[in-house]
Amino acid sequence: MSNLYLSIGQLDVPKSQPISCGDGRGGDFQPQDEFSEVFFPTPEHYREFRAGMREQAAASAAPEVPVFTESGSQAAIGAIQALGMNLTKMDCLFYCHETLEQAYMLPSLKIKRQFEMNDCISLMLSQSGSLASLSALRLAESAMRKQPDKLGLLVVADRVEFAELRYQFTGYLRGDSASVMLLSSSAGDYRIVEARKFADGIPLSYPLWKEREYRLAEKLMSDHAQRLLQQAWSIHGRIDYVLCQRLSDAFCRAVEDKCRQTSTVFFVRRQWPDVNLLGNDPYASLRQLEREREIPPGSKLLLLLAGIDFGVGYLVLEK
Amino acid sequence: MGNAVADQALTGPTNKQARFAIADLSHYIPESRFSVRDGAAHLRRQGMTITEAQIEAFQRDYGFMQAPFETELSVEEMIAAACTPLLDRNSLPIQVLMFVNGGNWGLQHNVFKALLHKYEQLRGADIYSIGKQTCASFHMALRMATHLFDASRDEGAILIVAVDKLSVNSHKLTEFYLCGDSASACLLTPYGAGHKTYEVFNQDGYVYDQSNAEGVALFNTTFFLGIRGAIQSILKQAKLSLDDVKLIVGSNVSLKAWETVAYLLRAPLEKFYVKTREVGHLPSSDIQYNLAQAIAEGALKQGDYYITINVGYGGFMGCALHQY
Repeated sequence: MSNLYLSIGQLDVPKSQPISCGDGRGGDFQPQDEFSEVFFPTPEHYREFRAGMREQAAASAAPEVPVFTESGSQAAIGAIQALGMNLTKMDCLFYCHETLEQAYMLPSLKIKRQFEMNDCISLMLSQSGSLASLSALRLAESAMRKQPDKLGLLVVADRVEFAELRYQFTGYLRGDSASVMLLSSSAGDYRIVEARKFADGIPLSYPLWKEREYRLAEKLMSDHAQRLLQQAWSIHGRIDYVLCQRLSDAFCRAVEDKCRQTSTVFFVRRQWPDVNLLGNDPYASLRQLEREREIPPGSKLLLLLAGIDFGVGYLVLEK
Repeated sequence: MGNAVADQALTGPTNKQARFAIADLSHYIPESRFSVRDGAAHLRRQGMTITEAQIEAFQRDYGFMQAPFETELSVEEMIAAACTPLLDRNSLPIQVLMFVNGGNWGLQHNVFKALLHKYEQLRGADIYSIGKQTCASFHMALRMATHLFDASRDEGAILIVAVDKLSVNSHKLTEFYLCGDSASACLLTPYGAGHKTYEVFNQDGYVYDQSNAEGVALFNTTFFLGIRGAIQSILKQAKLSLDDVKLIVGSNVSLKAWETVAYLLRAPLEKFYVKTREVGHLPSSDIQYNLAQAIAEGALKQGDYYITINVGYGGFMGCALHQY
């Protein structure tokens, strides 16, 4: 992937707020509750999930995470508006999300209409955990490769609509964010050197998990992350920075341990270090790295993305 | 269909360059059935007033009678039931698995783990979820496949997997259609035997949320015009006339709409192949199921050109030209 460039145009992480289980939802299963009906196979699974979540909330001492007051798609539109660019000449629009909106909504179409992007292909990518942007970049490269001066917009937006789903067993709490990244076949802040994904997961279906299954999956993803890092070093030689998905404490420690074997710097962002910002997580770390340090041209950065039920992947950028 | 031949070039009798080949298809249709009357009974329990005359008109004019619905299998199991026959008979490495889920809004967990662990040809496959072109998402998957194969023909096949399991009863019967559950698998190869696909056309819709009541009403009453437009566009792209095309394999939408399209295109109704009466609307798998039935019934012969066309809620259109 040698002729695609990426620039982070806008990245919005909202104000942090305390979260709790007190969202008005009763502990008992409500038969007409579409949320529980869709996400959990039986009322017992839903009750167990909420009980585990309450325990974790009690142990967490008022956790705070970034929370959008508006929907993910509206937050994305806000980020695009903040960019202040004329988007009518965009060739592609990729809208990536891990979380769902409660109401029926097609964000990519809404963005196309609102910003008069009449001639562009628009695609929404999900069902990949936090890894959807890697799929988008591969599709962008195949769609934009043939002509120079092609332009694309990569939008990654997540808002966790149900408070329960901010908890993921012993993983970091899930927070909201929205970003707009510009893709170009001719120039940008970073050249995309490689985007690679490895899909995997433990056999048991995610709605049936308990903490034991989470730990097994966490170990599996940690092993894959270490293996992929080794692969990246073999292919690319020097990697100057690794920016790791804040999936969980154990996962991040496994990646950091691997980085210690080389001269690669394992960068930890100061803001929201214990929050998983989902699809935007490593990009948020990149933004903070850019603000804290001078990144010399030619530097290689590896953004490691992970979804506990979906797999691990990485994006290698060259400044 | 069966295993693809690796080295066969993709040109048809008129020397058109094909984009890829549809090498194999398989599907899973649940045995249980949900009828229009079952749907009406459910809606009456929700407080809606539906008369017998309305039910009869719905069945007579739109052609919907019944649709399959899944009572036993999970989504993962439905996918496995659809994919297993195809993966058992095709061992080509798969570079990308495209998941089409136009009708499922609640799925947010990995539904492919069992397949990934069982089939060696899927290890290393990239998994994309192509959604939100609503019921025209299958053709967006075909469009993305053209780009991926254009970029490289050496990285393996593409598997398009679709599943619908409408867990919420209110999604099954609406004013305009009866939806069913199903799963399907469609294998695309850059080379080889099978149906050659020459052109793909996609059109974005204009309704992106339910608050646009005017847009929804406009779509529901005029989508047949969009179907006509899409067919005319694909023929123009391919430089063919409708007479060159043996069959139009379409979405299982209202039969009345297809009659109108046939009238507008001045084409015989027999040119349109749908299964609205038999299975209702399968949001993500209409084309894959209908095409398999067309082949099984001998409606297509070697060398025939045919068009596939999906109409998606909100004005999305997807259309492609193929040759058997």
